[in-house]
Order: sequence, then structure tokens, then C-alpha cells
Amino acid sequence: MNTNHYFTKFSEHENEKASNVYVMSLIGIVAGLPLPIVNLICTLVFYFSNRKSTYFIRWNCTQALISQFFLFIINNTGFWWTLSILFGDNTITNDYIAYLIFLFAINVFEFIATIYTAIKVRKGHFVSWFFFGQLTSLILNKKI
Amino acid sequence: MKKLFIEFTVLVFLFFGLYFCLNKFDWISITNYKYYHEKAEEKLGELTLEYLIDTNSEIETEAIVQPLDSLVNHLTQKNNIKNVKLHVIDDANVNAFALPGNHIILNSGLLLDAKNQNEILGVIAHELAHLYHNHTTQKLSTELGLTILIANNNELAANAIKKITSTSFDRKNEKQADLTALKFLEKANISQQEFVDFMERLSQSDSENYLHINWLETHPEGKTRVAYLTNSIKDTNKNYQNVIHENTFRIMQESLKY
Repeated sequence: MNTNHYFTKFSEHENEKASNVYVMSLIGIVAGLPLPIVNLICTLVFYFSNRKSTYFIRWNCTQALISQFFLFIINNTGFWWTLSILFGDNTITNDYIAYLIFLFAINVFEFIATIYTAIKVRKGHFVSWFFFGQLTSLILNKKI
Repeated sequence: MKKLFIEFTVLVFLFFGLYFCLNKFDWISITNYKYYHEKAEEKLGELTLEYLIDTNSEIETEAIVQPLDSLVNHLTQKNNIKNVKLHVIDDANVNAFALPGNHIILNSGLLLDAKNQNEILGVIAHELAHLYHNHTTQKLSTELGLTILIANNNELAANAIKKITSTSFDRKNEKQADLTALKFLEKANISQQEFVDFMERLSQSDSENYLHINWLETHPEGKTRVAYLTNSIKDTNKNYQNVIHENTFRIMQESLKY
């Protein structure tokens, strides 16, 4: 992660709102378990509600949304695989257990990263995630 | 753009690399999954059996249990199935079922309703097929899985979804058990026609309402069932033999009446 110090650049209100998007995605994950789509919907709603906001807020909303989308794909695969074992003809295999551990590790890492980012952004730092930050900048068509 | 592409490639490699590294371990052995799965099955079967015996007493009369044990042993030996435990429950309902841990339960009502030993053999073969295909544990894990998934949401919706998916799941398994039962009977040199006749007799006692709520019933509708069973019978002209003497069978039924 790249954290640039922009203490005087953004207002308190902006910092709080930008930080809230990460808090919202965390709440979405916890509240929506075991369904993987709830946190994505929460982040999407937050994104659309802040489309007219300042660049800083929009940037963080977009970064959170893109990362949640990727997480959604990974979680969704695990979700449907589990359902196929519970209701279909699939059985628990080594691949499945390995994928569950992989899923857990990714989610824990994402959880920690989101909490860290939420705290940093609240303090006025600009946190650009590996790959997701670059992609966000490309989408919003502006360099940081 | 170039930096983005490089970062994307690194991320993909990291993800796949992590998954492939994790995949190298034998998690089934590390977690002792098979051992705990078998233990859980046994425990589940014992708990369910305890509940059943508490509700309706188990019949242990020799004249009833021994002939039935002979029928079960004949089928299991010919089909190389091991460790099956038979229980006879004092219940007037014409029913039989399999429980995890290789338990087969026969209701006294079913034993009295049967016209000959081959009908009972057909039912036993059907329950053995459920054990063979591991339907009982699948069904219980489905119900448990659904409870965990939707427990936090609307209770009414949860119960409805459980019922609907549970019964659809059962009908598919029931058909598979029926067809496997025919194979078991064939391998044990037992006539399959009586099993079909028994199913037909049961289907004739279905009420009209059954036709309309078939989708919600656990077993395939009677006529459908008889149709696919009839189409699946192999050779009806073989020289089939009885497993126990007809007199032994009649004595068993007489003993049940008292």
C-alpha cells in the first residue's frame, strides 16, 4: 500500500466520508455472512450515493468497490461450491478444503487491509492499494 | 498502464500460487476428515435410533427378528455390504427407513402388510441402497447446511425452503434407491416383481390429493414409481428361490400380531 500524507489537503468531513466506505464494506461482510453479495451491494450503494462528492471520496469509494468486486468473485465461487456439496453430488475433497483455507486467508487479509485503510483515511492519508489503486486512478482518469 | 498490467499479473500469480501451494497438502488426512465423518455418522444414527426406540418400542422377539436377519444377511452377503444392523419397531405405519451408521428400521406395520418375504426383501434392498449411496448423511447435512445458511432470516421462509429443497432432494434419491434395489435383488437371485407389486399396492392407497401435491412429497408419485420400476426389471423368468421357508415367514407375521 502507498500512503501519502495529505493532512491539510482534505477536510474533516471528506476524511470521515471516505473512511466510511471502508467501514461500510466491513459491516456488509459481517452482516451478510454467509452470502457473499451483501458487502458488494453495500459498497455499491455507498458508491452511487457519493457519485457527486469530492474526488477524494469518489476515489476511495471506487477503490473499495473494485476490491469488493474481486473479493465477491472469489467468495462466490466458494459459496456455490459449498452449495454443490451440500445439495448436489459433490463431496468434500482436498481441493475444496484448500480453497476454503485460501478463501479464509484472502478474506482475513482484506479485512485487516480495510480496517487499516479506514483508520489511515480517517486521519487524512491517501491509501492506494496494490493494483486496485492504479485501476481506480485509471477509471477516474486522474493520477495521484 | 504498463504498471497496472504488471501489478495485475503479480496479483494473479500470488492468488494462484497461494491456492496451488495449499493444494499440495493432503488436508483430508491432516484434518482426519474421514475418521470424524464416520464417527459423526455413527453418532447421528445412534441418536436417531434412541429417539425412535423411546417413541416406539423395539421388537426383539426371536421368531420375528431372526427370519428378518436371515433376509438381511442374504442380501448383504450377495451384494458385499457389511455391518448392517436391523431393527424392528412396533409401529403400525407401513414404513421403513435407513439411518446413518448402517441402521435399517422396519416398522411392524410394514411386515404385517407384506404378502410374502420377497416384498420385504424388496423394501430391505431399497433401504440398503440408501445406505450404499450415502443418502442418509447427505440428507442430514443438507438440512443442517440450510439451517446454518438461512437461520438468521425469516423463519417461515427458512422452513418453507428447507421443506421444498429437502423433498426434491429426497425424490431424486428415492428413484436412485429403487433402481439400485432392483440390482441388489437381481444379484441375490431374488424375484424383483414382488417389490414392484408392493409399490403398486401402496400407490393404489394414495389419496386424490397426492396427485396435486406430488411436488412436495418425498417419494415419487406411486404410478410414476411403478412405471420406472416395471421398465427396469431385467429377467422375470429366472428360477428364483426363497431365502426363508414360507412357514417361517407366516410365523413371523403371526408373532407380530401378538
